[in-house]
Amino acid sequence: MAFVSNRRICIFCENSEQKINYKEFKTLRKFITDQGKIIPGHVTGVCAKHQRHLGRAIKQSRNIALLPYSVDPRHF
Amino acid sequence: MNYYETLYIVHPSLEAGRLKDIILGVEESLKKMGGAPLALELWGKRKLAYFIDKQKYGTYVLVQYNGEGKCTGEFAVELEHNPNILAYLTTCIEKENVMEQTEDLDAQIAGKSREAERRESRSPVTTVSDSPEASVKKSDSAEAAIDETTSAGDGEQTDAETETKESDTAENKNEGETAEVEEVRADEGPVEEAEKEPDTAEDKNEGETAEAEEVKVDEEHVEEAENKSDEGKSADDESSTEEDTKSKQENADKTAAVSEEE
Repeated sequence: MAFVSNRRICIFCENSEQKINYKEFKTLRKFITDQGKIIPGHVTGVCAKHQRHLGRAIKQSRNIALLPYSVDPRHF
Repeated sequence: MNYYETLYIVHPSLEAGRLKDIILGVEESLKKMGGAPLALELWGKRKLAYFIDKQKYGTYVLVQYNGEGKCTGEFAVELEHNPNILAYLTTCIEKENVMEQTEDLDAQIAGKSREAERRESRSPVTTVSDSPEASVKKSDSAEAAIDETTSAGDGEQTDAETETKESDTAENKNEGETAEVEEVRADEGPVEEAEKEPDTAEDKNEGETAEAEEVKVDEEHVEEAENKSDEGKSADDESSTEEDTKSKQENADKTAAVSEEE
C-alpha cells in the first residue's frame, strides 16, 4: 500500500493568487476564532511564512476596526 | 519615492457635502506635506468592529499616494489632530498595487448615498401597505435587508441589541419581582388584618381589668423572687462567715502548737 501523507498544504502556497491583505477582512475572518483570537498555523494548516503575514494583516485590520480585538463570549 | 496608502475613518454623522470637504481637506494637507495623491476610494459607511469615540459606524476612505518617507509622519500628525477622523492606518505598498482611479469623488459619494437610500427604502419600518402582493414583496425585501445586515456583521450580535436585551431582561426581572412582592403583600395583608382584628377586639372586650390583673401577678412574682434572692444571699453570707472563723481558729491553733514545740 502506497504511503499517503496526511500533511495539509498551505492554502496560500497552493493558490499564489490569493494575497494576504488587511483590507480583505472577510478572508482573514476565517483565521480567527469567534472570540477574535488568531488560530495557530498547525490548526489551519497555514505554513509559517504565511502565518506571519496573516498575523500582521489581522493586527492591522484590528487597528482600523475591520476586525474585533476581542468578542465577549457571553454575546454569542 | 515610496508608495503608501492610508485608510481612515470619517465621522458617520458627516453628510455628502461635508464629507467631500473633509476628504478634499485631507488631500490638500497631504499635498502640503509633499505627497502626491494617486487614487481615492470611498468604501462608504460601515459598521465598526468596536466602538471608536462612542461611534458604532464610520465612513471608510482609502487614499493611495507616493512621496518621501517623512511625509507620512507629518500626514499622520495632521490626521491625528482632525476631530472628524476617528482612526487611520498608513501602510507601505508596492507600485503594482496602486489602483486606477475610475470614478470621480463626486460620483463615488453620489453612488454611496444612493446605496444608503436603497437600504433605507428596503428597511421594513418605512410604511405599511394594504395590498397582499406589496406586503409579500416587502417581506422579501425585508429578508434581503436582514441578510445584508447579517452578512455585514457576519452573524455577530450588535452591542446595542445585547444592551437592549439586557435592559429588557432587567426590567422584566424588576417587574416580576415587584409583581411577586405585591402579590405576597396582597395575600398577607387581609390575613394579617383578619388575625389582628379579633385579637384587638378581644383585648378591647376584656378591657383594662385583665391588664391590671396581669400587672399585679407580675408584681407578686417579682417580689417573691426578690425575697428569695435576699434570703439566699443572707444564707450564703452566714455560711461564709462561719467558715472564715473556723479557718482562722485552726490557723491560730496551728501557730500556737508550733510556738510551744519551739
